[in-house]
Amino acid sequence: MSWHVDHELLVHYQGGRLGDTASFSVEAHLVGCAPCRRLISDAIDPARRDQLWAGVIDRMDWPDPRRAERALARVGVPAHTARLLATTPSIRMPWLLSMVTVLVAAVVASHSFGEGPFLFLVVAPLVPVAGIAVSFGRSIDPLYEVGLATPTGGFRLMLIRATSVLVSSLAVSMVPAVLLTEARWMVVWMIPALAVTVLTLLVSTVISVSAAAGVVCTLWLVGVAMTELGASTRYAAFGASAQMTFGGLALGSAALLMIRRQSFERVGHDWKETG
Amino acid sequence: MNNSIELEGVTKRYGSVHALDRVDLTIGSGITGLLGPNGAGKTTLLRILATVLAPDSGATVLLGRDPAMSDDRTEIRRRLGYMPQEPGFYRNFTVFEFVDYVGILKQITDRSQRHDEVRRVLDHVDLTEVARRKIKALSGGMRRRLALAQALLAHPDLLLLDEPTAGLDPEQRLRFRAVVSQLPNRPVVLLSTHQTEDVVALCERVIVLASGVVRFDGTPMTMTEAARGRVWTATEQDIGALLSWRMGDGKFRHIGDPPAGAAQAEPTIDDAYLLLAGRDALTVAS
Repeated sequence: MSWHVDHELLVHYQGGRLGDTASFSVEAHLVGCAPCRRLISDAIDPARRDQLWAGVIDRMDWPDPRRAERALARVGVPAHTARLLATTPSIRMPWLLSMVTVLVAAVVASHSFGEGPFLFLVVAPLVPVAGIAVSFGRSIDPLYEVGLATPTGGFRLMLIRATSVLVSSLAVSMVPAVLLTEARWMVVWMIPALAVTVLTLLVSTVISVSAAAGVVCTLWLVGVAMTELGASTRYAAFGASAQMTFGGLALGSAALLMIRRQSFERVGHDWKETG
Repeated sequence: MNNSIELEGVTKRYGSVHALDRVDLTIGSGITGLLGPNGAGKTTLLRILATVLAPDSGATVLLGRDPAMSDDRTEIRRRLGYMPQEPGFYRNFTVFEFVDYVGILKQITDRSQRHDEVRRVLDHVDLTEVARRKIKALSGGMRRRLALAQALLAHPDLLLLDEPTAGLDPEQRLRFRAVVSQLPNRPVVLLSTHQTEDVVALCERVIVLASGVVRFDGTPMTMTEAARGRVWTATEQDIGALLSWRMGDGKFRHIGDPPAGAAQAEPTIDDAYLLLAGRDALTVAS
């Protein structure tokens, strides 16, 4: 070892006046030199040293937030809420990519068959429904029972995750939506999407969430098919009167969901008794 | 502050099966053991106390509050620590992240305070060394301790532990006992177990549950005494006994009525448990 920290270097380092390159050099030296470590340690105010050390430990224990959490923090979401949102299974990258793939395929297939945006409009509202189906319940969430026994569990956690699902579904659906030829097709699926999502949550107060998603998906597909077959114009299921109907359905389902919210506070329909 | 739990006529059914049948209990501070065979209703009782399951009928008051009321239930959950029988984990989380996440669910929103609390409970269960390890890399025993750690967050006034020693080796079980016996502030601790050794080592009170009914409620010592006069040793096996087995010295130990030529033996808590749980316990034993 060719050099050691002298008094002048110590004073500058301690005062933060050494500059990055020289500071890194000192720190690299400290790793292998116990006498210099002691010298630096003795020279620093113990309270500040403890505070710095606690910061280092905390940084090691709690590494950089995940990508989704960083994105949420940038729009002002508190770190603890961002963590709850980010644990929603349906906002993980593999899920989002698979949904984008499905929607792009729907757009391409629609164009190939000369159907315009029809297939996309049918599939897009089902993306948040599928997201809901993989975000709640005993069979999906390994922490379901522990979470339910906490003050955030139950209805509050469901709302947090449903919000997460809706926002992420909206975002992924906008990716293939830009391939559509007319701007109005980029938005007409949104109110139906909101309606079927809230309806899924409402039905999940009676049957399991996966069964609820299946029932609502079926109702949606049958409803769209019947509307289109019975109407004199194309896209009647996404027209103005249909939008009003879906808006009313969303509001009515939300009201009933509030009335039924207690059902989220107890173990669900997919519960199996074990003892 | 009311630190007790009170149940009156609590009943829970699954179809035609009574998981709990008109259970009356009052449990105060200290460690209470809940003994019973599989299917006795222990887990159902703990889930009702953890506010995740509603009884079909009967009154429940936890820490002075009614879990059927929304505000009361939230307040109970703030003061509750719960380790379920089969705790689940986010396997890609580190140990620290996992407990931190439960801390968020428990509404410890100040990050610094929460992290201090996470370190405290991890230290308490001796998991500090693996705090940055992913959960999927932990042994079964470590996962049980991790499940216990999350239950200890925020110094709960009501701590519910469902089969916490299941699957632990003897050393880990001793470590668990040390942790639970050293909890500060004497919370209400209800410990569901098959292990009579846990009850003797830890509990000042024991409740035996079988077929959804409370069969015994008292101290481990009085429970053991309840078997006095019902335990025998003999040179021949008695097929009429409730249970009979050959011991290391070649003699047979009998629980129940005395066989011919038998000598009365000093009872243990295991004998008392077998007598109290009756045929249900034997189903498990076999």
